[in-house]
Amino acid sequence: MNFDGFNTRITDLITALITIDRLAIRDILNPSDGEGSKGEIIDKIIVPALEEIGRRWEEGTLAISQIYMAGILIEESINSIFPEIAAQQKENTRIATVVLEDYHMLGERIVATHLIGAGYSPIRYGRRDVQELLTLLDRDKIKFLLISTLMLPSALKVKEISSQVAGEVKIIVGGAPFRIDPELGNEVGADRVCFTASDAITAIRELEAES
Amino acid sequence: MTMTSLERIMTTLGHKEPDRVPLILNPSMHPAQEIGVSLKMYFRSPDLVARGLIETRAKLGTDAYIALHYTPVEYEAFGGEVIFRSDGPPNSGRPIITTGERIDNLVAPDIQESACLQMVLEMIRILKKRSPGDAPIFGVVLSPLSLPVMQMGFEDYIRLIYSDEDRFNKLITVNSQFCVAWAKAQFEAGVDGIIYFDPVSSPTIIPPELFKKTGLMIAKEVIPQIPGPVVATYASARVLPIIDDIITLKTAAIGVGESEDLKEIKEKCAGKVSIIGNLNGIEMRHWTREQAFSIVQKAIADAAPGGGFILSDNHGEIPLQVPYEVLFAIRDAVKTYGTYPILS
Repeated sequence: MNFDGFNTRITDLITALITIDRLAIRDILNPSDGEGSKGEIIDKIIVPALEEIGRRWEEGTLAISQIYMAGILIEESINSIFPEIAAQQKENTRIATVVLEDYHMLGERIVATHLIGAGYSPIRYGRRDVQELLTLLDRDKIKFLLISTLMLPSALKVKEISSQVAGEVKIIVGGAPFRIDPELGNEVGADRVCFTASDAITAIRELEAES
Repeated sequence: MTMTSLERIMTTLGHKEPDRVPLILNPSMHPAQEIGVSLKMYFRSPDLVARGLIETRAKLGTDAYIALHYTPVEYEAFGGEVIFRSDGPPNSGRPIITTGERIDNLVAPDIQESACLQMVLEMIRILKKRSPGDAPIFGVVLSPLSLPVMQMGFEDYIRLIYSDEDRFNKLITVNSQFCVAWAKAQFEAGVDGIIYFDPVSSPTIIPPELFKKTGLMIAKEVIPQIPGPVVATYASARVLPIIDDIITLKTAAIGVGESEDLKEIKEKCAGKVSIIGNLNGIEMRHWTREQAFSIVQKAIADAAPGGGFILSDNHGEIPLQVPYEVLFAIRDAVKTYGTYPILS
């Protein structure tokens, strides 16, 4: 497929995700002519669409509810079109998502759906405290940990994780406290701070390349 | 002539210039630390919370009391579990609405029978009785649109908004009735105004077109039933894209977050609705005295000329990690830069 063809499908996918048009999403990602390999569809259509959606969130023209629904729809599509990605979970993955000490798990869910959209298979730990999380990281030999936080005290707890796993697990953080105070990521020893869910894809790819 | 806090606030809300810019800071957890009791013990005691509010205002020279124990108190009244911690505000626990049938059968709590709501009312009565009476007391209600984030969890709630209009409307109906009753009960206990806390309405959380069909309609229904002045706040989320709609709610003031351009907000709001904000409560943890002075000076220059501006933080609650030295610096900076007349 040529450059213009991908661009059109990216634009169409963004529109379909924002308008919650499941049929259009299926047609864009799984066209009747079968054009585009799995890798091309992920790297040249889904990831750029999610990045553009993230950019619009950052500039304030999309809301978190739309980002969430876009992630859910992408996850549904991936599970339907590329079921082998979902099947890989727990076998090959070394990526985990978690929310620290909070029952609001929206951020973690959004990040997980975006990673799935990029072809990763993160383990979702859900809500955990520091000790539980350290045990799980060791058990699952996690290399990349994405931590979502809503409240400042939870964000400050990241330091207790990073100080224990430095050099073994890359810590990627996101959530309101990190957006409001851009210095907070450094303060708690995070390897990357993400301001959008699609930033998490970039962060993982960069950290993978470095390791 | 020096005004009382009440006169200062009322003049400001009337879009006139008082003697100086009013200041509202709410370090709600600091008093517990000072007297050496756990946050759980502190927040469960109407007497300690009332005393903490009075002493904090005296110490910081602030101009209002925010009569709040903790944000999830309404969720607790609906049957939720509040999780207390030692380093931050109490948080809501597991969602209490996990099935559609639960919404179908949802009943608002009876305020008279609810121990946690009676605790808040008792605190307001003590505060009213023991405080000098020279500053307004603001109660707090969670908006009918925002309470379900705790009742259901954010994820299920977003799905409900997009997929089940009937049950969404049922949930909002119950929450609206409760919200009005809870606001009225706080007025009867002694508050002078209500903070209508509605972060879900922000374009940070839902798109403006959805806000027009949900949060705006709900606020237009609920706010006129609240028997006194209302301040609409949106946590630290954005409001600028919906500010024209918010102005139609005819609230006394709106709270704005740290990401907003105060000058731009003031241009939109001047003479229509007063502004409360927008110091960054999280960054504040490591401000120097000089930084505090500089930031306060800019906020005042951007929003205070002509009145209609109350200096406060971005969220309505100062994190426990913010040292008193910073709060004292903010207080002193308001005295330095906030005396009217103020030039922009």
